[in-house]
Amino acid sequence: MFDPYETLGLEKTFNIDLNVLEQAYFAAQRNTHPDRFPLADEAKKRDVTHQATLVNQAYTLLKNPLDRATCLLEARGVSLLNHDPEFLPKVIEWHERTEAGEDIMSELAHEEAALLQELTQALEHHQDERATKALYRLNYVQKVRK
Amino acid sequence: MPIQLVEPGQTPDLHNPKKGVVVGIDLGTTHSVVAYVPNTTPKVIGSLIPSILSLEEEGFCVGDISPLERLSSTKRLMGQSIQLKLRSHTLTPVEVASHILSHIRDRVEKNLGVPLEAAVITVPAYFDEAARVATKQAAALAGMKVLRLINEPTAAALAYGLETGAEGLYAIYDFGGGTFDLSLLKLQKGVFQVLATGGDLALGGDDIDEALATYLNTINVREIKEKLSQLETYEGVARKDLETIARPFVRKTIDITARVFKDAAINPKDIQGVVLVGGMTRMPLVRQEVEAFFAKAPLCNIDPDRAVALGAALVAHGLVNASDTLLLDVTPLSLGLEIRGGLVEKIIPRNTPLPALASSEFTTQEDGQGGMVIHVVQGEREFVQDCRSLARFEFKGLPPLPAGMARVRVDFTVDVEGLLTVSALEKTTGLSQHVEVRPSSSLDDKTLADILLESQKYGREDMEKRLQVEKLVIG
Repeated sequence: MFDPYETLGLEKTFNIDLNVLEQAYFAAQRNTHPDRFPLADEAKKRDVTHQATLVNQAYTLLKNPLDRATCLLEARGVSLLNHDPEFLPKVIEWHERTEAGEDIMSELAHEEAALLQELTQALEHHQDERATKALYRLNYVQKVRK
Repeated sequence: MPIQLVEPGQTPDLHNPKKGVVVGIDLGTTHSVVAYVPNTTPKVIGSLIPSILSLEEEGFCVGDISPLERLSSTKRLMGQSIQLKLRSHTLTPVEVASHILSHIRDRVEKNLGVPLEAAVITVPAYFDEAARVATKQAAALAGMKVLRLINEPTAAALAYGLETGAEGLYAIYDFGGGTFDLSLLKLQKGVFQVLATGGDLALGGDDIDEALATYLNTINVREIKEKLSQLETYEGVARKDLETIARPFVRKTIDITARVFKDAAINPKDIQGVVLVGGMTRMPLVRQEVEAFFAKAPLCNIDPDRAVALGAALVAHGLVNASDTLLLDVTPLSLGLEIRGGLVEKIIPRNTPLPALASSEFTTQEDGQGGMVIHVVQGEREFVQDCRSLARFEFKGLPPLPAGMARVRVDFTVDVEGLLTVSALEKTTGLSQHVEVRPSSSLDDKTLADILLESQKYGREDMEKRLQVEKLVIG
């Protein structure tokens, strides 16, 4: 299975220093980018192009906190939530208030920040169930904010 | 003689006397520029070449020769299936570009006295798939080996960055004769990373010329426009009149610029500098508007007409000499597939780093459905009709299964030049099909041979060489 942490040779942690991620990305691209293999035959070119593609995918995933959390939980063998009954009342409340014409965007921004903190803590303490809940809710809030 | 390429870490053989030259070509809308790297510093060969084709007694000629019967600004039509009339001849935009490239090769070989081995050709970052493929076809037709296509703003950034050692976030504002591009790059030692790009394929100085021509009711207005960058009035036209005409077009470039920054979630105030490229950036109004948007004066210490070719020359030199500089570019436009109701499902969103791969799974809608139409489109809109159709093929021979049971996985791969390959795989049987996307105006072998014969009648190039290279590149 594709593990972006492994692809970039990074330690499996949620708190990634974005500069460290970038340097790992550039280092990996130096080894795989097709421009680095002008002499290669077609087969080799295809191979390095594929490698470079995986490096790009790994970088794109790890740069985004939600994708990063998903990768980390999947790597730990945790299955993600596809519904959260405890969260439903809040969803309904937001929906009703929006219908009534209320602007809840700043509240959602606060919620997102709080959930991101919750997710970070849960992942750092290996509280995977707590993390899956936070991740599910964060995904929802981000989708609504968009 | 085959081109000499060197693996990373190997010492290149720089002193082979028989070795040809590799060049960078800015194949522009209004003019083209060619450059090479004699030692370490890139140098333009000759002057700017008007991207104009005319038919004289001795054959097709490139340059500003016949004022009336000529083809100009055909770059804007690259990738479109369209026939252009030039006296008794009809030509495609690809053929016009190939004549310009042949002319460039002749000039290089005459100037330097060595054969042109290969070239890096630049394209607008916002050039779509079809226009990129068309550019490669033009080179093949001219018998020119293409090392790589690269995006114009990326080339300009490279010229600027390598020249000045600049590091940090930079915006490249490229406003040329036919297209506008805005690219946001992160420059670091040895790495040029494009973060986001945007633009308009049909927005350039030509549009301003056209509007000015309508206003003045005369055709030759380019000189007036150019002179008004220095003078307050020229030929009875005041700069402020030109500015009134140009302002809506310039505003459009600023709107696009704002959108790119929004896409990348970067504040325009956080950039280190704005590099201006393209002839239109000589217009004082453009500089004012750019300065107002970024709240800082744009950098103009590179020649906006030559920066792209110089950068392309550096890339060409880097590729054959295994340089350490890494160019990380992105897809300019989203790529997707048509789904039910004429909607588009995006498979690879714009600004995805290249090379890229993405897949999506589809299923059948009817029992025993034997085939599936795969329609590949490019663009940001939600409906197929508003996007550019790139390819349509039928995936045949699906196993007879109930509706919803067949599983077809469609893979999109985009290489470092931005060229797309689509393949489809039926997962239960392992049946697969593979298509390379070609522009709708794609020439078949016979037409290509006809064109080659015809061009030999009018040109002086060696047809055998052309056919060989054409086979290598296209075949």
